[in-house]
Amino acid sequence: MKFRQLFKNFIVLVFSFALFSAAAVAADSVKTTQRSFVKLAEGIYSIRHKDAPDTFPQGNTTVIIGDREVLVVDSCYLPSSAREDIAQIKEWTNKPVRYLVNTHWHYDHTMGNGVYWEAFPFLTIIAHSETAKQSANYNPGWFERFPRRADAMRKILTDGKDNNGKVLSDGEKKEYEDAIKGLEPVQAEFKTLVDRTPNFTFDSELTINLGNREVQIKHLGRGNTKGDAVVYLPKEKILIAGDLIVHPVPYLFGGYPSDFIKTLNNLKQLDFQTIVPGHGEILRGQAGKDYIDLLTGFTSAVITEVGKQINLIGNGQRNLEPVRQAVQKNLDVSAWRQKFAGNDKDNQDFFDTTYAGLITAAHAEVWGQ
Amino acid sequence: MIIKTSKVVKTEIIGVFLLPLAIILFLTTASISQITPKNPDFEVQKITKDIYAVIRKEPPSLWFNPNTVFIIGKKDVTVVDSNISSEYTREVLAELRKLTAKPVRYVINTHWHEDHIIGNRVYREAFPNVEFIGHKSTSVDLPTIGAANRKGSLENGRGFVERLKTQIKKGENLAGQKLTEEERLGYSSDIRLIESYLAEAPNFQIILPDILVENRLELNDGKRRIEILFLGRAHTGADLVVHLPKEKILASGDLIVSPVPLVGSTSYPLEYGATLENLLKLNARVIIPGHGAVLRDASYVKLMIRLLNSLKQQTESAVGRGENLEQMRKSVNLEEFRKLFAGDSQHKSFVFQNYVFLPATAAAFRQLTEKK
Repeated sequence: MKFRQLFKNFIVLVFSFALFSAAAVAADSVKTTQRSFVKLAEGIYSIRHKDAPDTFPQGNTTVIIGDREVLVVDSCYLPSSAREDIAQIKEWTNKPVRYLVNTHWHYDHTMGNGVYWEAFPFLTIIAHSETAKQSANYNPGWFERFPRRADAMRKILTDGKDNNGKVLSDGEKKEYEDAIKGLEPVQAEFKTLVDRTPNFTFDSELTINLGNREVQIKHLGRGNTKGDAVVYLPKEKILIAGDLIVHPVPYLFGGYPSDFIKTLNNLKQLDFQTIVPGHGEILRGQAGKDYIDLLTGFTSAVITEVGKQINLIGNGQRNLEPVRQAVQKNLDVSAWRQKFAGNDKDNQDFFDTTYAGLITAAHAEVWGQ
Repeated sequence: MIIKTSKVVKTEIIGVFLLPLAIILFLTTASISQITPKNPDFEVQKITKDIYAVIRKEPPSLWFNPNTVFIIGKKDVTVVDSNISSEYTREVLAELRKLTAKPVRYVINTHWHEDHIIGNRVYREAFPNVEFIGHKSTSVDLPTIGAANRKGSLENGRGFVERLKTQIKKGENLAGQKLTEEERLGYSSDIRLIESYLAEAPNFQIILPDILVENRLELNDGKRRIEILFLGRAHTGADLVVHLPKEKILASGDLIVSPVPLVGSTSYPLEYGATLENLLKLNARVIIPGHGAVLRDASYVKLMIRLLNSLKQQTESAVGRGENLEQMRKSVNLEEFRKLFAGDSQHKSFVFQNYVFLPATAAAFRQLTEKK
């Protein structure tokens, strides 16, 4: 059971993340080619990272500086990127990083933990209790699984379609070839890194005062993973959402689609002006609320259609492919595709990937995997 | 943009006094601590490997100083509760220093009552990297209810010390009866605690917890899991317990106080019993109470639950009959429990009256009438 779950998560990450195509115009949640940062308020910065050489994306990192100490949200993926972030933080402030929050266990948000641990001796790594469990289960073996990653990617290339049955476009094929080439330098980076999983876990809410700056860490329900944490700054009205919100093209593969809708509704109750997504571009003002509505609208339409098709076709894992085909045939998602992905071909490819992943997840919820 | 700041930590300063007064009182303390016998008012007990409890030896009376727990981890130490004054916390810290050279990383304040929190500053001075953990409502209750309580203590403390001294001299207790030896020891202890508290007052600083827990927080110190749990409202609205699931040890804060329970005026008597039921479900082998001796079975907690259930049931009936607080205090009968907790002791009966009967009936009345 454990192996199956582990394998599923591994597959979700490998097959779904590492296939973004290379066009320069692609949206930032699809492909990030440049490192950059944004100042959100005095002492609050959000950093975006260039994708790793194996095309793996890197989660956004947010830096929150108080009068006394610093809290960082997500440590990204590559140790070299985390080191760059720390050098940047030290330019912004001489206060120590005392807290590192992992919004969820995925490698692209947590593999830099060890770098922070080495740089700041009094670091506390915080996560939801489920995230801590999952990190302890999955993260330490990541490097050893690299050969398997390469094999899995080669198989996808040979088959010409991913594990959701989606036929690869030419751009995606090239992306897989690049990813396979990039594995070696990435693996080399991880050789000396000591893995660090969270040592401080919470269930529903934790509030931390960094010195005149209150930071709330909340679990508002399952969504992208079992233990999604969001970080909320009540005074500054900033919400750091982890991968519950990825913008402009969301991550909807894996996860718990029905709970995702509830969790997003909880999220919407918070009084925020700015959303920092787990990947991609920052949302400001009404745009954040509108984007949440778009996410819940799309997810809920897909869940409903999946339910309808399961009633017609039948339940069980072997019916996944017939159900998927029927859903894709009956549900017109072109308006959503346009809203999320615009006219860019790579964004649209990625939208189709996330859509196929959402069907798999919604189907899995019904047959009770 | 580099902001230059010293490593000295800014703390929330509550209550600022004029400097000359501070100096005068400081000198007074110095002379008091010289007269106070060096024999410490506590005992360090080893509970199991790397877990120690500092058990206070002050007799049960009207003022309190809490037990401390040291949890020694792989590279640092977690401490449960500081003391009623920096002076006492320094003594406790000196004991920790004899046990380990590792730094204190976290101090957990089981609730916001000042006797558990004033000594925080000693840990911050000794360990600039220490973090304080408390319940979420601490940051609301301490600056409001806590500040009001403090004002009372500061205004009346000196007068109360004089009164206790007079009673001792006269050989009479506060009710005018002949002073027993137990009462004399209790009053003497109260005098020492109040004086230490008042000595702190001129440069009073309370460091509020930086990490606020809503219901559960777990940390791993490299040797064990440390669970910090909110089990429900009871002694205050902010009671945290510290549970070590591997060792089956529980630091209960003032949810449990022995030999006489401490329900107190900022309590929630209607929920207290249920909260203790939750506590028993943890199945701890050893319970280190907020005040009093270490418990190694559930019998005392069960007795407290009986008391609180009886109180709940009686006060609910009284309010149901339309009684006011004064009438309720006549109809509610806790005599059975007074005997069980205080026995024949005049002094413990007085403590029971002042920390169980009177505040618990008032708090229950408040809860019951608020609901309506």
